[in-house]
Amino acid sequence: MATVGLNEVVKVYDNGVLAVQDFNLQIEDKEFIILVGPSGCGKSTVLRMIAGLESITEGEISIDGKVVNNVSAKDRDIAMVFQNYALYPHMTVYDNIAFALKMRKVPKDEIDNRVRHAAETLQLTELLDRKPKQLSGGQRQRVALGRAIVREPKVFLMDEPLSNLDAKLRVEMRVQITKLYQQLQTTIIYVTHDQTEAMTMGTRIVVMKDGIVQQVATPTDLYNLPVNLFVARFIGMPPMNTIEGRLGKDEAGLFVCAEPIGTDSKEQSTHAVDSVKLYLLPRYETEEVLAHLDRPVILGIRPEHIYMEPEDVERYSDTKLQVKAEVVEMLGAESYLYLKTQWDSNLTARINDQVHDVRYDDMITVALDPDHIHLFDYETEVSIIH
Amino acid sequence: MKPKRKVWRGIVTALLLIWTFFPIYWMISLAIRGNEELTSALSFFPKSFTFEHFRMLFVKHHFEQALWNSFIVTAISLIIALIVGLACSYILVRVRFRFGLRKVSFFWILLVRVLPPIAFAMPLYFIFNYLQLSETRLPIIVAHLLINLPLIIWFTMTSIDSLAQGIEESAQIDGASEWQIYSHIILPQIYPSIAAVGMLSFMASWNEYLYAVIFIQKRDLFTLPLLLSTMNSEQELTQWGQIGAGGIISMIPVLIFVIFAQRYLIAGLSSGGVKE
Amino acid sequence: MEKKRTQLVDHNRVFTNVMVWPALIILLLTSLLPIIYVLVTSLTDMTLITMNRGGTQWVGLKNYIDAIQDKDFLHSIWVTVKFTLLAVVTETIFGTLLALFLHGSGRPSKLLRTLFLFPMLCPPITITLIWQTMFSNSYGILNQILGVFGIAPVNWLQDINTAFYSVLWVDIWQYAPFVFLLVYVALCQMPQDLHEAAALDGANSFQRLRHITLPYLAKPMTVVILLRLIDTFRLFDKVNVLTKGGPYNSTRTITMYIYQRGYNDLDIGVTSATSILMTLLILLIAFPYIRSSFKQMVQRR
Repeated sequence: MATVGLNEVVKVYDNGVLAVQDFNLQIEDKEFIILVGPSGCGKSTVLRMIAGLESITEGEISIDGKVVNNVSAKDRDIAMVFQNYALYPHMTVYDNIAFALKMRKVPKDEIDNRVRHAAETLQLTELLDRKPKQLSGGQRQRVALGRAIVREPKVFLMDEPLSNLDAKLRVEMRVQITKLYQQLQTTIIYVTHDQTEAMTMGTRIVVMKDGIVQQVATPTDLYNLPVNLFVARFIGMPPMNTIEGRLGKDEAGLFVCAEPIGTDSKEQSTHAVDSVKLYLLPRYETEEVLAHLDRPVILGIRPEHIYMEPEDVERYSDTKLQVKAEVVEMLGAESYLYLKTQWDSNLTARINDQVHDVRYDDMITVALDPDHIHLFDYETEVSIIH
Repeated sequence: MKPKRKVWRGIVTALLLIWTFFPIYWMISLAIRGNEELTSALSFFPKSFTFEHFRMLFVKHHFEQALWNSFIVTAISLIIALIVGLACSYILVRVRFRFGLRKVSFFWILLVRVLPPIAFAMPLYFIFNYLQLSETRLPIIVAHLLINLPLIIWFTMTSIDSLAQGIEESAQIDGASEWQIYSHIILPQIYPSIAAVGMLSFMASWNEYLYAVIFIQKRDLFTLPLLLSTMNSEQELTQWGQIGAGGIISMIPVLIFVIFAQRYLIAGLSSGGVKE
Repeated sequence: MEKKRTQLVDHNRVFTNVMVWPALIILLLTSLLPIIYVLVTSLTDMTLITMNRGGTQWVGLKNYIDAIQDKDFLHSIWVTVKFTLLAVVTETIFGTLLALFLHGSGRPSKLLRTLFLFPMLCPPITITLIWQTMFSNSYGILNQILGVFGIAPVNWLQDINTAFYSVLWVDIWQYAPFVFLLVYVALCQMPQDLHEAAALDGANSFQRLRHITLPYLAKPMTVVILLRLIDTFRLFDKVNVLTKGGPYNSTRTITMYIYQRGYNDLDIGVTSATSILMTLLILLIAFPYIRSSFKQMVQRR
């Protein structure tokens, strides 16, 4: 049983920097938790506090119900994989993996067993006699993993372990780590800034920004129901498109009138003439949304939900708009269209096909899928639909 | 490169080598030529060959005593300085050790490197005199500690600082105690630096003259440089042969280091200074 | 992501103290005590006799005032300054030229580099003694070589006109390699792309030397020069062996002076005062070195 609990955890550095605020999280046994966010958001700090490498300013961290604030790192029964592997350069792979066991005075034959078993799991058996500098990046990472799994700890901590690998290796190692997770069936806490890793590997994801938790949810929920604009744009590649506008209502229903917010009134009135109205489905007329009538909002739409096929534009005529195509990128199975709206905003559309008949500066009409529209309060950036 | 240029370069290089090695050649020539030659007109090339001078060193001057003295003093001060200095520099670099004290330690170490030995030598001599210890080996060993400690601390601080910190954290999580981190993780990674500074220190001690002159009065405690310096004489030319022989022997450690550990030696020297 | 330097969270206080204090204590005892001793005794009229038998008295700054007015002491300062400046300038020029020469020969030979270092690696005493035999008036090889060209023998170490320069010569011979080594290492680490860009811009090798190499070398050369200044200022070994300060004190450096006063006259008070004065002089020279080294060390925190 290995649960990890963080209760109102705060971290302030000696120079006064507030790195982590009000961090609350209960991690169940066997979960694969991912802490994700941009650089400096505090995710590594949280991990290091769980590891015992950083002191905890306020709050409590407990492992398996026992508060570990004052327990030293080596007594917490955790193992950690570092971003730059942190292998002992003067020891062979075998000794690297065996080190922790030697420190705990495990009998020699048991050490041998466990090391060889771990090596086999990670296909390191032929490399046991080599030194780290003779290994490639991927091999080193596997040794770092081996060092961790041989300890059979309660919790695995991983601090951006794939960041130093090239793209191809990263994909391979991602798969390897996921397979390991399924094999070992332990709790893993994983830190990364790459949202792809987060989405593909975790059972639950914690999105952080500036030391504050933005949302904790499964990958699917994070993607479909982002709780604020930051999460919405952070998760998903290419990022979600945003259209500023004002919420309005007329005989035809609730709509968002697309207009740049924050310009002076003169410009606003000129645009008002050409303004585009994007109509929302009736189910969006909740109390919370209606409370935002005549107020500025941000409309979000993911690239795959912008359609350019005539049938779709026909079907979703209530949410169509004229745009200018700037760049077309064809990736084979799909294409990206980089579009510019009448009011000079950028939109990215993902089309599940090859696009041959659109050229630079072509004016085309696209439609947004009304079922997948997101709405955010302009000021707070909080999602107003659920 | 044009052949003419190459020839020119070759000539210059040869001249430079002659310039560099002539005194050493001369020393060797003095050491090996027979006594008959060591009279007024010394020829450029030795005309005879003998080991007599080497023999006389030991028979007449008890050279083996000086060798032993130099060795003992160097070895003891080096061992103490290494044990104590490495430990100290690790803490100064890695541990948040009462920040003010660290700055003061840096400063003091720099100061000791720079201050003239004579300023320490005379008072130390008088103090040891007062304590009735001046007939022992203690003063000179202490003096050598004064030379070697700052060097070792300063040098290893730089090397420890360049180690990746994640490795220590990893060891911490793996369950290593502080001592184990130091002995199993830090030290093994800086063995080359330790070798380099060890060699530098050894040479500084082995070659040291000023403190020896001031502290050592008893002839049977003389270190090598001191003994050699008593042998200079214009009257007795045969002494020159012994000086040459003694000189050759005094250079043996250097030769050993150069042949076997050139890389470490150069690394050490070029990181900022050999003490005179 | 900016990696903040973090500290190991729990420190074993006992471990930390046991590790760090022995070295610091030894250092303190061997350096601080003597300095305090020197400071205190410099204000007295203590001699070796009065130290053992008592009778020392406070004389305030008398020793210092006497020293500043002492012609011999001032002369020794002059000798030392002259020697240091000449030695360091010449060493630097020789050493740098040698480094440039060796570096410019395409495939720098590691063997050659080590060979040129030899003078610096030898025990100074050995070197000094050998040069002494070479300088010998009647039997020295130098005079013999001069004789071949019909030049009269020179009494290198005893002629007041040449003694100073003879000692100077030995010092330069021994330490030019030090300059050579540091400059050479710096040259090896010099990024080549500056030269390539300059060559494309049409600069010939001399221009590149002047505008790229030399400015780049300014920093390592400053370090070397400072170190050599500090070390040469203390000159003792060679003087004590070759000339003992003579002839007529023309080679009597400050250290030599202090040594003779202390050892021969056994005048502790004066010795201490002059030591302090010498220390102050060296600190003056060493100040830039200390400041930059200190900043460097602290910056890394």
